[in-house]
Amino acid sequence: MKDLKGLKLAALYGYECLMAKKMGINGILFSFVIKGEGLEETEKALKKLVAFHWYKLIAAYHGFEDPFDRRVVRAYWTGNRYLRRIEKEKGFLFPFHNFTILDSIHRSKTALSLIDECKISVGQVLETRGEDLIVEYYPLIKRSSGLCLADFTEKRVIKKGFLKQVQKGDFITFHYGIARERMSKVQARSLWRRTQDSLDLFKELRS
Amino acid sequence: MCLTIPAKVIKVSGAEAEVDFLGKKEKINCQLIRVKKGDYVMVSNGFAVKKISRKEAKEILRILKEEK
Repeated sequence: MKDLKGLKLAALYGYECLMAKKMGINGILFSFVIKGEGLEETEKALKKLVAFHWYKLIAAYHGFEDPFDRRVVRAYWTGNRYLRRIEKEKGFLFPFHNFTILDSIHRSKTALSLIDECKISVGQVLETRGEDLIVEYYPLIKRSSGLCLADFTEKRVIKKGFLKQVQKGDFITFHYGIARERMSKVQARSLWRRTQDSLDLFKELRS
Repeated sequence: MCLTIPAKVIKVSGAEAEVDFLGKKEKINCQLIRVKKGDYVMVSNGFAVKKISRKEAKEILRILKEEK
Protein backbone atom coordinates (compact mmCIF):
# COMPACT_ATOMS: atom_id res chain seq x y z
CA MET A 1 0.00 0.00 0.00
CA LYS A 2 1.30 3.44 -0.96
CA ASP A 3 2.31 5.85 1.75
CA LEU A 4 0.28 8.86 0.66
CA LYS A 5 1.82 11.11 3.28
CA GLY A 6 5.28 10.29 1.96
CA LEU A 7 4.21 11.00 -1.62
CA LYS A 8 2.59 14.24 -0.54
CA LEU A 9 5.73 15.34 1.28
CA ALA A 10 7.84 14.49 -1.79
CA ALA A 11 5.48 16.51 -4.00
CA LEU A 12 5.42 19.40 -1.51
CA TYR A 13 9.19 19.82 -1.58
CA GLY A 14 9.69 18.84 -5.23
CA TYR A 15 7.24 21.51 -6.43
CA GLU A 16 8.84 24.45 -8.29
CA CYS A 17 12.40 23.13 -8.13
CA LEU A 18 14.46 23.70 -11.27
CA MET A 19 13.96 20.20 -12.62
CA ALA A 20 10.24 20.07 -11.85
CA LYS A 21 9.88 23.31 -13.83
CA LYS A 22 11.97 21.97 -16.68
CA MET A 23 9.97 18.76 -16.87
CA GLY A 24 6.65 20.58 -16.64
CA ILE A 25 5.40 18.56 -13.67
CA ASN A 26 4.58 21.41 -11.30
CA GLY A 27 0.86 21.24 -12.06
CA ILE A 28 0.76 17.53 -11.25
CA LEU A 29 2.63 18.01 -7.96
CA PHE A 30 0.49 20.99 -6.96
CA SER A 31 -2.80 19.16 -7.60
CA PHE A 32 -1.66 16.22 -5.54
CA VAL A 33 -0.58 18.33 -2.56
CA ILE A 34 -3.67 20.54 -2.55
CA LYS A 35 -6.43 18.19 -3.73
CA GLY A 36 -4.92 14.73 -3.43
CA GLU A 37 -5.62 14.18 -7.13
CA GLY A 38 -3.56 12.19 -9.65
CA LEU A 39 -1.84 9.58 -7.51
CA GLU A 40 -0.39 7.57 -10.39
CA GLU A 41 0.88 10.49 -12.42
CA THR A 42 2.33 12.11 -9.30
CA GLU A 43 4.28 8.98 -8.45
CA LYS A 44 5.50 8.72 -12.04
CA ALA A 45 6.55 12.40 -12.04
CA LEU A 46 8.34 12.14 -8.70
CA LYS A 47 10.32 9.14 -9.91
CA LYS A 48 11.89 11.37 -12.57
CA LEU A 49 13.48 13.66 -10.00
CA VAL A 50 16.93 12.78 -8.67
CA ALA A 51 15.51 12.94 -5.14
CA PHE A 52 13.87 9.58 -5.88
CA HIS A 53 17.30 7.94 -6.10
CA TRP A 54 18.13 9.27 -2.66
CA TYR A 55 14.81 7.93 -1.32
CA LYS A 56 15.67 4.50 -2.77
CA LEU A 57 19.06 4.59 -1.11
CA ILE A 58 17.69 5.58 2.30
CA ALA A 59 14.88 3.01 2.04
CA ALA A 60 17.30 0.21 1.13
CA TYR A 61 19.67 1.15 3.95
CA HIS A 62 16.89 0.96 6.57
CA GLY A 63 15.04 -1.96 5.02
CA PHE A 64 11.93 -0.01 4.03
CA GLU A 65 10.13 -1.45 1.05
CA ASP A 66 8.62 1.81 -0.17
CA PRO A 67 11.03 4.60 -1.24
CA PHE A 68 8.13 7.02 -0.71
CA ASP A 69 7.72 5.96 2.90
CA ARG A 70 7.18 9.21 4.83
CA ARG A 71 10.13 8.47 7.14
CA VAL A 72 12.41 8.13 4.11
CA VAL A 73 11.17 11.26 2.34
CA ARG A 74 11.37 13.24 5.58
CA ALA A 75 14.96 12.08 6.16
CA TYR A 76 16.01 13.43 2.77
CA TRP A 77 14.30 16.83 2.88
CA THR A 78 14.53 18.03 6.45
CA GLY A 79 16.20 15.16 8.30
CA ASN A 80 15.09 12.78 11.03
CA ARG A 81 16.58 9.78 12.79
CA TYR A 82 16.80 7.88 9.50
CA LEU A 83 19.21 10.39 8.06
CA ARG A 84 22.62 8.72 8.29
CA ARG A 85 25.91 8.81 6.52
CA ILE A 86 25.93 5.74 4.28
CA GLU A 87 29.40 4.28 4.10
CA LYS A 88 30.48 2.69 0.84
CA GLU A 89 33.71 1.31 -0.43
CA LYS A 90 35.98 4.33 -1.08
CA GLY A 91 33.60 6.94 0.18
CA PHE A 92 30.27 7.71 1.71
CA LEU A 93 26.95 9.24 0.82
CA PHE A 94 24.98 11.70 2.87
CA PRO A 95 21.44 11.62 1.46
CA PHE A 96 20.30 14.98 2.76
CA HIS A 97 19.02 17.60 0.35
CA ASN A 98 20.95 20.50 1.85
CA PHE A 99 24.14 18.47 1.47
CA THR A 100 23.57 17.01 -2.00
CA ILE A 101 23.14 20.47 -3.58
CA LEU A 102 26.53 21.74 -2.40
CA ASP A 103 28.51 19.87 -5.04
CA SER A 104 27.19 22.14 -7.77
CA ILE A 105 28.80 25.26 -6.33
CA HIS A 106 32.17 23.59 -6.44
CA ARG A 107 31.75 21.98 -9.84
CA SER A 108 29.90 24.52 -11.96
CA LYS A 109 30.43 27.73 -10.01
CA THR A 110 26.68 27.91 -9.58
CA ALA A 111 25.74 31.22 -7.98
CA LEU A 112 25.55 31.25 -4.20
CA SER A 113 22.13 32.89 -4.41
CA LEU A 114 20.82 29.92 -6.44
CA ILE A 115 22.12 27.42 -3.89
CA ASP A 116 20.48 29.51 -1.18
CA GLU A 117 17.17 29.33 -3.05
CA CYS A 118 17.56 25.61 -3.54
CA LYS A 119 18.37 24.77 0.07
CA ILE A 120 15.52 24.07 2.47
CA SER A 121 15.61 27.14 4.68
CA VAL A 122 14.04 27.80 8.03
CA GLY A 123 12.34 31.15 8.45
CA GLN A 124 10.48 32.85 11.23
CA VAL A 125 7.41 34.81 10.17
CA LEU A 126 7.62 38.52 10.97
CA GLU A 127 4.50 39.57 9.09
CA THR A 128 1.81 38.20 6.80
CA ARG A 129 0.89 40.41 3.86
CA GLY A 130 -1.83 38.99 1.61
CA GLU A 131 -0.32 36.04 -0.24
CA ASP A 132 3.17 36.95 0.96
CA LEU A 133 5.10 36.39 4.15
CA ILE A 134 7.92 38.51 5.47
CA VAL A 135 10.37 36.15 7.14
CA GLU A 136 13.78 36.32 8.69
CA TYR A 137 16.21 33.53 8.01
CA TYR A 138 19.89 32.64 8.02
CA PRO A 139 21.23 32.95 4.46
CA LEU A 140 24.06 30.94 3.02
CA ILE A 141 27.23 33.03 2.80
CA LYS A 142 30.78 32.50 1.62
CA ARG A 143 33.66 33.22 3.97
CA SER A 144 37.38 32.60 3.49
CA SER A 145 36.86 29.31 5.37
CA GLY A 146 34.15 28.24 2.90
CA LEU A 147 30.36 28.17 2.77
CA CYS A 148 28.41 28.64 5.99
CA LEU A 149 25.10 29.80 7.34
CA ALA A 150 25.30 33.45 8.33
CA ASP A 151 25.45 34.35 12.00
CA PHE A 152 22.99 37.16 11.24
CA THR A 153 19.48 37.04 9.84
CA GLU A 154 18.11 38.62 6.71
CA LYS A 155 14.56 39.64 5.95
CA ARG A 156 12.92 38.52 2.76
CA VAL A 157 9.54 38.17 1.14
CA ILE A 158 8.34 34.70 0.26
CA LYS A 159 5.07 33.29 -1.04
CA LYS A 160 2.67 31.83 1.51
CA GLY A 161 2.47 28.89 -0.85
CA PHE A 162 1.14 25.78 0.81
CA LEU A 163 0.50 27.40 4.18
CA LYS A 164 -2.98 28.66 4.71
CA GLN A 165 -2.92 29.22 8.45
CA VAL A 166 0.25 30.99 9.37
CA GLN A 167 0.93 33.76 11.83
CA LYS A 168 3.63 36.03 13.14
CA GLY A 169 6.25 34.12 15.12
CA ASP A 170 5.67 30.77 13.33
CA PHE A 171 8.67 28.79 12.15
CA ILE A 172 8.34 27.60 8.57
CA THR A 173 10.43 25.93 5.90
CA PHE A 174 10.78 27.50 2.48
CA HIS A 175 12.35 26.47 -0.81
CA TYR A 176 12.62 28.61 -3.97
CA GLY A 177 10.82 31.45 -2.21
CA ILE A 178 7.72 29.39 -1.40
CA ALA A 179 6.66 28.39 2.13
CA ARG A 180 6.30 24.62 2.48
CA GLU A 181 5.60 23.56 6.07
CA ARG A 182 5.19 24.90 9.56
CA MET A 183 7.66 23.54 12.11
CA SER A 184 8.12 23.63 15.83
CA LYS A 185 11.02 25.64 17.20
CA VAL A 186 12.83 22.37 18.01
CA GLN A 187 12.35 21.03 14.45
CA ALA A 188 13.49 24.35 13.02
CA ARG A 189 16.60 24.27 15.18
CA SER A 190 17.33 20.67 14.07
CA LEU A 191 17.10 21.57 10.40
CA TRP A 192 19.40 24.55 10.96
CA ARG A 193 21.87 22.26 12.78
CA ARG A 194 21.77 19.58 10.06
CA THR A 195 22.37 22.21 7.40
CA GLN A 196 25.32 23.59 9.33
CA ASP A 197 26.68 20.05 9.79
CA SER A 198 26.31 19.47 6.04
CA LEU A 199 28.33 22.59 5.30
CA ASP A 200 31.02 21.51 7.75
CA LEU A 201 31.13 18.05 6.18
CA PHE A 202 31.39 19.58 2.72
CA LYS A 203 34.27 21.81 3.84
CA GLU A 204 36.04 18.80 5.32
CA LEU A 205 35.70 16.91 2.02
CA ARG A 206 37.08 19.80 0.02
CA SER A 207 40.03 20.55 2.34
CA MET B 1 17.68 17.24 -5.93
CA CYS B 2 17.41 20.42 -7.69
CA LEU B 3 21.06 21.05 -8.33
CA THR B 4 22.98 17.98 -9.36
CA ILE B 5 25.57 18.41 -12.07
CA PRO B 6 25.69 16.05 -15.06
CA ALA B 7 28.91 14.46 -16.31
CA LYS B 8 29.84 12.31 -19.31
CA VAL B 9 31.42 8.90 -18.72
CA ILE B 10 34.74 8.57 -20.54
CA LYS B 11 36.05 5.31 -19.15
CA VAL B 12 34.78 2.62 -16.78
CA SER B 13 37.04 0.53 -14.64
CA GLY B 14 35.24 -1.79 -12.22
CA ALA B 15 33.29 0.27 -9.72
CA GLU B 16 35.03 3.45 -10.80
CA ALA B 17 34.58 5.65 -13.82
CA GLU B 18 36.37 8.60 -15.31
CA VAL B 19 34.00 11.39 -16.23
CA ASP B 20 34.10 14.74 -17.94
CA PHE B 21 32.68 17.45 -15.71
CA LEU B 22 32.37 20.59 -17.79
CA GLY B 23 35.75 19.90 -19.38
CA LYS B 24 37.44 18.72 -16.19
CA LYS B 25 38.23 15.01 -15.81
CA GLU B 26 37.44 13.34 -12.51
CA LYS B 27 37.12 9.85 -11.10
CA ILE B 28 33.75 8.91 -9.66
CA ASN B 29 32.30 5.93 -7.89
CA CYS B 30 29.67 3.92 -9.75
CA GLN B 31 28.66 1.38 -7.14
CA LEU B 32 25.09 2.64 -7.12
CA ILE B 33 24.30 2.40 -10.82
CA ARG B 34 25.82 0.55 -13.75
CA VAL B 35 27.32 2.92 -16.32
CA LYS B 36 29.15 2.59 -19.62
CA LYS B 37 31.33 4.81 -21.76
CA GLY B 38 29.30 7.60 -23.34
CA ASP B 39 26.57 7.63 -20.67
CA TYR B 40 25.57 10.87 -19.00
CA VAL B 41 25.18 10.68 -15.24
CA MET B 42 24.19 12.94 -12.38
CA VAL B 43 26.89 12.95 -9.73
CA SER B 44 26.72 13.79 -6.06
CA ASN B 45 29.63 13.69 -3.66
CA GLY B 46 31.68 11.61 -6.08
CA PHE B 47 28.95 9.01 -6.71
CA ALA B 48 26.96 8.54 -9.91
CA VAL B 49 23.34 8.62 -8.74
CA LYS B 50 21.27 8.66 -11.93
CA LYS B 51 21.71 8.05 -15.65
CA ILE B 52 20.23 10.70 -17.91
CA SER B 53 20.03 11.22 -21.66
CA ARG B 54 22.43 13.50 -23.54
CA LYS B 55 19.52 15.84 -24.21
CA GLU B 56 18.67 16.05 -20.51
CA ALA B 57 22.31 16.67 -19.59
CA LYS B 58 22.57 19.56 -22.07
CA GLU B 59 19.29 21.00 -20.82
CA ILE B 60 20.40 20.90 -17.16
CA LEU B 61 23.69 22.55 -18.00
CA ARG B 62 21.85 25.21 -19.96
CA ILE B 63 19.51 25.89 -17.03
CA LEU B 64 22.40 26.15 -14.59
CA LYS B 65 24.23 28.52 -16.92
CA GLU B 66 21.16 30.72 -17.27
CA GLU B 67 20.55 30.78 -13.53
CA LYS B 68 24.10 31.88 -12.68
